[in-house]
Amino acid sequence: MSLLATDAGYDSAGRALLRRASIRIEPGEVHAILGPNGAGKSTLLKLLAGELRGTRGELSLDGRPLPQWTPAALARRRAVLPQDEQLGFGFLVEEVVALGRLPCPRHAPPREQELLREALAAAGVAALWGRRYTGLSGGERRRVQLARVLAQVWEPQAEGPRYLLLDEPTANLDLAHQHACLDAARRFAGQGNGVAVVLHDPNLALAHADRVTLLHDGEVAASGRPADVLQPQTLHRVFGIDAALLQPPGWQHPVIATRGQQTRA
Amino acid sequence: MKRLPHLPLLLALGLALLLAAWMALANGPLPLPASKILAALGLPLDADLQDYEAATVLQLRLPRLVLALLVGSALACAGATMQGLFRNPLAEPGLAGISGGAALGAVGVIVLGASLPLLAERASLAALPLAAFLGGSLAALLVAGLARVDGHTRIGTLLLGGLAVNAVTGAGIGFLAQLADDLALRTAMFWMFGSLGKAGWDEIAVAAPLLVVSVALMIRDARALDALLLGEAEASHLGVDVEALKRRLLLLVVLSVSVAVAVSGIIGFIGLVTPHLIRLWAGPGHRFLLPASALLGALLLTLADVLARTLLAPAELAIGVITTLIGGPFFLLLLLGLRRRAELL
Repeated sequence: MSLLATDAGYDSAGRALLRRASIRIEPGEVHAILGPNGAGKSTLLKLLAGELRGTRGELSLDGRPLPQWTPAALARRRAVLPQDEQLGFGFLVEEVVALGRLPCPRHAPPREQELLREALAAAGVAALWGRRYTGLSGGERRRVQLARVLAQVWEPQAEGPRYLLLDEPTANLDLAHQHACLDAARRFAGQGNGVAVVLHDPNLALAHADRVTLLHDGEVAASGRPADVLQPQTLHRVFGIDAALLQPPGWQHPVIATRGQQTRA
Repeated sequence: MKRLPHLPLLLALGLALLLAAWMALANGPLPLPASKILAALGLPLDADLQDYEAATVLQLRLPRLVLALLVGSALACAGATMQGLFRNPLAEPGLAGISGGAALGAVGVIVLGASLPLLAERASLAALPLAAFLGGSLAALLVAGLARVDGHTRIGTLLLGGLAVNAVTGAGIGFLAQLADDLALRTAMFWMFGSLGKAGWDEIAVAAPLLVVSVALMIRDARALDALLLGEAEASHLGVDVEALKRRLLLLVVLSVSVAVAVSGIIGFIGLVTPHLIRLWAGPGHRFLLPASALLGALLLTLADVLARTLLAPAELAIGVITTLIGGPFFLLLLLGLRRRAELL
């Protein structure tokens, strides 16, 4: 039971967007994917989502290769939050969230409404009910989209655990909402589900992730527990920055302070 | 604008449609009272109905009304589907080159038919609609083929391809018009601006099943169209087979628009303005948008045809002139409103 990529690679127009990467998204875990721009994070997530068909390697969900899944069956087991959205029509917020319910067996209207409210509340945007989506700020839209993907995999499935694939869900969010967003992912994982989340901030990974995979040049540079992977020398090798691991008194996890090349001189 | 509740809006549209249908049956060079219309429609009334009055209702006005309902709902529904498919509220069936191709096909038959005796005989019957349908389908196939890269249909390329095909078909029509004699030219022009004047039960027998089935199948895909508004990747994450959906809907749009153009010529703006109005009143969700657009499209085209028949009576105005005269400025107003609200509706 896991969402698995084994030596997966993807080429586009003769260029390798992802050379070779293996990753295992386990139920019950939040698995953060970090790496520099162009390292292949989004490509890896799209391969795991079944959105792209891998050029090399194997991809499977619960032991069954992704190409063997029908789109409908896959949609009941995993939801995907893409990096950017392009919804330009004037839906109401709850209508956007209801779009996530497309692949799900539908309940009576009162229960459906309740479920939409629960999903919006889980994403911290219960107060946006009734607002027009196109009138929201970038961060609000982001959280409504999170509620939409949560609504898609809200209910347990008899066939097995559910998976959430989030591509930079914290982009455009303020500090408090970045943590709230990952708390929501954490709660979802706590119900026995798997979460893969692309992040840029190593501190968010340290605070919320069970496991980190660090990508560099289309390959896995390091993978494991956050505090083990996000070591200063590894960050220097991958990002070319100076980093220091600090332990605030009383905190369960360390934090990372970083500075760039110019600052050093 | 605040949304209107769906059920009352549907009822209001239905009621307005009944009234418009009544106007269409009662008005014309021969005004008929309600009792005679009802008697002609088969109600057992003692209305002193003359044969020519019954024929006016049953052979002239009723088929025209039925065609207005069919074509209006099909054009509006195809417009709404196209806008969803393109994720662009400014899309309309004419954009994909369908109307242009259909027009070229039909005008070609009219003009060339005059010099080919074999064709001329049948030009006004079978050849015209068939040529329009073939022209529309060919144009759409060409454009859709151009837009297909690596097994994906690129919406942007599709729009640009439609633009190019429309330019070429426009030039082709202009060239053919130069070759035409006066009569053929007038027929061609009248057809290009649209008219329900050729309505007869024979045409309806062919068009009705095709249009009704197309509209029903488009409505069946309403939820998938909603998902498509999020983006193609997002729709596929939601379990929609996006490529199959796009192929299916494009085929339905081509079919319904070509059939509509074949029986009534090019009638602009119904497919563009109608879905806009419904979105403005009731939101963009396709489960309401598609059926409500069909109703409103039928209503608008019926009213336009009443105007076309009565404004210059006894002469008849091309219905496409009316829909464009009213629809064009109206659409500009809509655009200005949209720009102010800085959203795509």
